[in-house]
Amino acid sequence: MDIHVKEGQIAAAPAAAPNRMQRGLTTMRGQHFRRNLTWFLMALPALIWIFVFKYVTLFGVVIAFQDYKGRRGISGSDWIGLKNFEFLFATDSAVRATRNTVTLNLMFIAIGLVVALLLAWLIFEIYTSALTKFYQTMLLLPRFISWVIVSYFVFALLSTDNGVINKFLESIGRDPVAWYNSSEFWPMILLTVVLWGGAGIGSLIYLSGMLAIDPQLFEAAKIDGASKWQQYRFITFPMLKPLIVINLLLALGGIFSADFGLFYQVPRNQALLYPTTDVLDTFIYRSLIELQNVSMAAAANLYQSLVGFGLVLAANWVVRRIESQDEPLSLF
Amino acid sequence: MSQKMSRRSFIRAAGAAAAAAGVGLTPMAGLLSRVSAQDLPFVTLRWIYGGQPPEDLQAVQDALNVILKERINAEVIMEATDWGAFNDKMALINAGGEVYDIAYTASWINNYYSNVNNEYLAPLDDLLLEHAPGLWDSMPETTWNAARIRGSIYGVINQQIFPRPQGFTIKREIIDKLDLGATIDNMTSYDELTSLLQTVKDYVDSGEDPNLEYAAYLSFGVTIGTWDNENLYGLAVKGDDFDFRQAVIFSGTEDFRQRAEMAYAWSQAGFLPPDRLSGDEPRANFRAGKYAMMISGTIKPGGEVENEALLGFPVRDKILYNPILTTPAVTATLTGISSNSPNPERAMMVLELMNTNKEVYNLFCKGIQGTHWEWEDETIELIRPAAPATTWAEVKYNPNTDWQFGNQFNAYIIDRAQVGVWEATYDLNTQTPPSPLLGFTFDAANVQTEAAALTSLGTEYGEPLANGIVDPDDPERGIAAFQQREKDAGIDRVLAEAQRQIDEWVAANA
Repeated sequence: MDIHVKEGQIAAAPAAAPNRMQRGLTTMRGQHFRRNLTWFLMALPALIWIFVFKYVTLFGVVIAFQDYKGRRGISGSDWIGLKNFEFLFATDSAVRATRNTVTLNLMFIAIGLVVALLLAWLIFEIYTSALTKFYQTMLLLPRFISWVIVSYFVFALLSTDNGVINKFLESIGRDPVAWYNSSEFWPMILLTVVLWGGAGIGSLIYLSGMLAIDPQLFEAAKIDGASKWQQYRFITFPMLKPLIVINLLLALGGIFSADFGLFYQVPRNQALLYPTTDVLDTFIYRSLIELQNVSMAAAANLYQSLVGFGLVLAANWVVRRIESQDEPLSLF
Repeated sequence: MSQKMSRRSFIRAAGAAAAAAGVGLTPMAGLLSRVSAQDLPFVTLRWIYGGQPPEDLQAVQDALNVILKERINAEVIMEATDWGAFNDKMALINAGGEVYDIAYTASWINNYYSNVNNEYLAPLDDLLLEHAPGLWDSMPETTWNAARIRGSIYGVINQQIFPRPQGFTIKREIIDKLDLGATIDNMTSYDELTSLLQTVKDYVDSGEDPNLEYAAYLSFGVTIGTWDNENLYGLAVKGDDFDFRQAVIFSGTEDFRQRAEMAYAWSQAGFLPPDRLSGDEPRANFRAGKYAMMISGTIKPGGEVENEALLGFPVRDKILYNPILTTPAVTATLTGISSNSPNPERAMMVLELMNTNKEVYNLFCKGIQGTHWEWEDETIELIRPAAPATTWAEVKYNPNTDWQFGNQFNAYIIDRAQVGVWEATYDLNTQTPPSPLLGFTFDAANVQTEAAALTSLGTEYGEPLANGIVDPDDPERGIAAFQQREKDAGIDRVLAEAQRQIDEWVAANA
């Protein structure tokens, strides 16, 4: 029981931290820092990473407004204002990539959340079983397989002539499907791949949250005759709510950036699949590689960042409106 | 010590052979004097090119550097980069400002024109005259002009076959089995290919060769036939009509529709594999015996021998289209010097050696004498794989891309059938009718936004159509949709701009 409580503190820490930090900043800054030194040190590598890759590189934004020539550098290239942004809207490719990024990410977030919660609940119910560790490991493993390799798994399944799935379809007398020419199937295929790869680690976070719930609550509920579903609905779910909200908020913040490896490798960069698989990240990459125009790629990237930033603000504003005073959930 | 001796004798032998053979389409003269090598500071040059790194790359590089050190006090790092990744890698190296000295660049990969527009390549005119007189003299100025952009040359032309006849490559084993020799001899057009493909498909279906899966793999570019098109962003100019110097939108031509319909019919008939493959995959499948034919690429004199060395089985090439000499055909194989190279003049010295010195060039192309190749007949410069290897595929250094490293007319031949191949190629180069636009290069600076969008549309709509993946009448992906998208992307503005430049160019060159 003692152990459970400790794990719970760790799991719940992100939700409470910003608020605690605000207080710390205004009152006893030094003491607060010393007390949390270990946590700061643990976060340090990530903070350095963010500083170097997200703040230092921010200066490069100016490239989007230049006719950038690599050899002349930023100081030597000519300014051309918003001209680079024109190409974004010269065709509907950028709009399509935006739409795909948002709808696919929303779908991944929503269904991913349900599946992760479900998996966490299932493991939680058998937590004492000797096989728990085995299940957890099996669920986590796909996470460590690179998208390049996954793309070959998927190709082995979906290749039109030799794919396992088409062979199966033929064996039951159905026509084979040209998967790599049919964009309509790809949202589902990508969702499957994403769940296979990501549901395990998602469930782990919620599992640790569930383990942090005081078992006495469940015992009391059981004595009162609550069913499993009622226990879940009235104890587990409310206790997990802060964790869910913070996870959703973080995910929403990233809704404008897609997992490049997933969207570039798994559909094998097939032009016919662009209608449903081309997302902003692949669009930007192709702008750079195909057009060999750094400035246009930078413009596309800036567009992604600006809209993404707006979305985080909007999501945070919504959460602020619905949170209660004693249970702050918003980031800022 | 003994190795050094053998190297000296090798140098002598190669020099004598070169002098005796007299293939000498390029003069051996114009080399730098050996004395000056000592005065030059020692430099290391980075040369990036396409191809799987061969097993013995390091050994060849070391051997090459012994000579380079002696001649021009320099060494090179040879960076072979897988073809499938070459384009992307060069784009990132260039965009990232990474320092390199020499790289392969072309109208079809590591795009020469965007490299020049982005100022990634150094102008070479002065360097050529000063440091590479032999190389400069090896080609007429009219040829050099094809590489000129806004007045300057940015890439050394690797002399090889310039016109690019189109056709197909087929396994000889299949020809013999099905007795297709005479049929193929008499073929003159792509239309006749349909019945050949049907015959081959029937053989595939018979299951006699269990490895064989499809009759052919198709990789057409968007524009095909006697059109001069490349780097015109969806536009093309009729290549065989000097009176008609009008750019047209290629997706609207009857030629494009016919080709797309033919490819789609082949695809529907089951001649072609249904999925598009990327990078080296199609060729690897051909090598593995999954396809009987490859309908793509350049068919050229001596190409059969080159292919056999690469694939490990004999093939036959058939030309179906006698092409015209276009600007992009001449710029299909260039070697550029990076604009951020710290030693461009030294890089040019390396290129001079590579293009005028047979010993250096063949070391890069064929490897080390005795280790990778040995003389079969020195008088005709015929070489064979060095024992114990019996085929070129077994040799541990076999890049087989002579055209990538310098003047291919200096290459040793690998088959008796190739005797005279360089003379034949030279004749082909000089006798092929030139395009009305030979030497013209479109400058897209004024229509960059449109050009960018049209490039993307070519990949997304044009290529699937040209390769039979999409029904030309498909309402969403077919030709009509392609044309509409091009219109939306402003192809009319590009057309007007291109025509203006063509008219100006014609007026200036008339």
